[in-house]
Amino acid sequence: MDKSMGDLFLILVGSMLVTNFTLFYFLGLCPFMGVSAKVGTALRMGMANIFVMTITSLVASFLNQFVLPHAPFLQVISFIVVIASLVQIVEMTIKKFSPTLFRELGIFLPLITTNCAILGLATWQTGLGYSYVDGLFYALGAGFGVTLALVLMASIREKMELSDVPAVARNMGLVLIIAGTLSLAFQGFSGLFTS
Amino acid sequence: MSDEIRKDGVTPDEEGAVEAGAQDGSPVEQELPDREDVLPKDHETYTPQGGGSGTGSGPIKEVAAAEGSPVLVPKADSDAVTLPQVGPEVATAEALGLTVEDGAAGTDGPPDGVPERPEVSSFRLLMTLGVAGVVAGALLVFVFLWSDPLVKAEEARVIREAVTEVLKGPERFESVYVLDGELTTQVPAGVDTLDLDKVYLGYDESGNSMGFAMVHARFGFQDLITVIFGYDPEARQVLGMKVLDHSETPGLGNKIEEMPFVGEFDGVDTPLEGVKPDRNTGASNQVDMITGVTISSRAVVRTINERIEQLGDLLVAYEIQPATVSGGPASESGGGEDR
Amino acid sequence: MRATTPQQDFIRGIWNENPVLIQLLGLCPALAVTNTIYNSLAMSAATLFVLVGSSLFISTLKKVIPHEVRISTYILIIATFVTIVDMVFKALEPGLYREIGAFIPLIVVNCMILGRQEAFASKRPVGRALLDALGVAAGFTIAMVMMGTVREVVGSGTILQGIPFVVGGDGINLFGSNYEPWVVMISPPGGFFALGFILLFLGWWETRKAQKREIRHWPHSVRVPTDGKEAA
Repeated sequence: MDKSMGDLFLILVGSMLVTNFTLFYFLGLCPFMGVSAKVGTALRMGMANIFVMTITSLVASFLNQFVLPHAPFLQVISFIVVIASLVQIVEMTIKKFSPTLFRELGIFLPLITTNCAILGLATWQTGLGYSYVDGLFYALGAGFGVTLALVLMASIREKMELSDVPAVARNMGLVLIIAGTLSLAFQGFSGLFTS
Repeated sequence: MSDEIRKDGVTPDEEGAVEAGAQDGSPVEQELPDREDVLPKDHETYTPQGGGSGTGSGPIKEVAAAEGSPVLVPKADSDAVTLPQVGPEVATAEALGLTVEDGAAGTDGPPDGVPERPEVSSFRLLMTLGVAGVVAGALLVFVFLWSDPLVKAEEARVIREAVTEVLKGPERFESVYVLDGELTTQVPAGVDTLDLDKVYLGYDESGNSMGFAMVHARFGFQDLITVIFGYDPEARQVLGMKVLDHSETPGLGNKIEEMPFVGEFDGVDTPLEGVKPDRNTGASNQVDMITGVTISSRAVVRTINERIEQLGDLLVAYEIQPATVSGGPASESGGGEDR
Repeated sequence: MRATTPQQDFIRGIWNENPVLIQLLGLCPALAVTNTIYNSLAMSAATLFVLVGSSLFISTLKKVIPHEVRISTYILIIATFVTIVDMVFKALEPGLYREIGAFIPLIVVNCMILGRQEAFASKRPVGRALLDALGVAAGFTIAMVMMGTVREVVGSGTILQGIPFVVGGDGINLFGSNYEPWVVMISPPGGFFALGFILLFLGWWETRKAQKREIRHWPHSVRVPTDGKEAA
């Protein structure tokens, strides 16, 4: 599909803001709840996400082109196996070539394997018919969106640490309600594309 | 109760912690006994669950560590912080390495005292995966062969229903493919029809063309809106419209699939122009938008216009075959009354 | 390993270790498809199938699967079951599939399934593994239906919407036509709010209970004065 740069940009912004993977599609919530208490960690988790997502997107496009036309029912299996292997390989590569980067990111990479967001990205990219370039922008947008949600959540939670939260509410319930408010805010991005 | 939760739930991440400690050199294992004393820091609490290279072998071992329960941490947080009476006994158990045994014993070279495991040959490993893969594949093929016809039948039914609706009851219809810049029902061998763009041509009882039905999708308010509409290329009119798929706001945006909006598209000149109801001047190409749902309504209009722009010339140029020649594979032809 | 009774294996998944409400696993489906009770039930059924099926398989084959590749094998087994569920759903319930189909493949990465296999099914006999799987699936269903009820009742004013044989698919309208539904509840933010409020409620409830009794180990609980009655 031939898309202009403008269309690609729309895909990116769309998957980042309008259909934010975390706040609209509920993907990637495990780390969202667990990692988002500090901005630094959240940022790093987000970076790792973007990284894995872009690579996954390319690989998924590749798989879609060669494997799926013949065996569409192997989609889930091939995606998950590939993702898991990919993360392992990526982790080993980073560890070898940049120990500092590994120390920053490395802890989060294994977690990303089972992050719904990655598998969701691969599956939905297929469903939308995006491949290679389109898919890449879609993944970038998704990654940025997840990072954005994580960082926003983390900054709010950091502030919350210092606030006077009633004891009854000091649990995940409050985190979810804050997430809900964020999601509500992001609803405002709907209709961004009135092209 | 939390003992159970900790022990059962913490099992996988125990190994993660062990592995992490072994491999990264970061002081991960010590996190566990410390948990109830110190408010766990973010990255520290997360590490035991997912740190290091996990528990099994191969590329998926991270999954175990990750899956262990990355989100047990928040619960554990509140546990550790707020129920100090739970802490000590669990922490002691962990410190003594009891929970390590509790979980899946052993990983690749765990440093703690873990039951020794006989070396398993690589051949056996590969065989297991291979056999599992083959069995899984066979099972899936079997289910696929059963389910695929049902799925295809359903898709065909949806299209048939939609085409019948937007072309106002054709006797039958056929698929016409876009190939090399022109419309044709003859597809050369070797070209997969699924790869081609297509339109549906409807015929009435006497074999006259009732117009083309075309599908297109564009971004609406929330996500893509997929629309099928009927089009008469001679009269340059839209015959009818049906929304096939959308993710618009329930209660508001989904009015685009209901009357009266759908009815607005019956017999409208093109190019369509969406106008607010009070600004409707009565021109033959105007379509009333739904109040309060401007963006979704406008998206539908634009979708149709765009599609007509794409294919309009091709449609006019297409010579409609006489009724006696029916093109297209049997499964594509319409004729609702036979099913 | 601590010996547990069969009842404990079953009940544990429903309440003590409820995957969604206590362990906060499986949130993706819990928030995404709970906009009506029908969708919640459908997703729960799919998850039940995958959970029970894979638990049975893995428990039966636990001696055969070498330790080093166990996670890969588990994933393969789980993914196979998920694909089967996906195909069956698509074929038998196309309408439902349109609603929740996008999230069925994500059952594979539902943390609670692999967690159960790793922690339980791979170490216990088949019968216990089955009970455990059923318990967890039951707990999941309960949580999903709770969320679905809240979201559907408040968000659409109906109950059981979508079930074909109940009022022809429109569901029972609870509040009459004057009710202005809180559409936000069936939109994404509603998912967060619904679960958040349920968790807050649980926290409050546990606090109340803890205040009245001796020390209990409530997962959601907060620091509660115990008057020095420390029971081990």
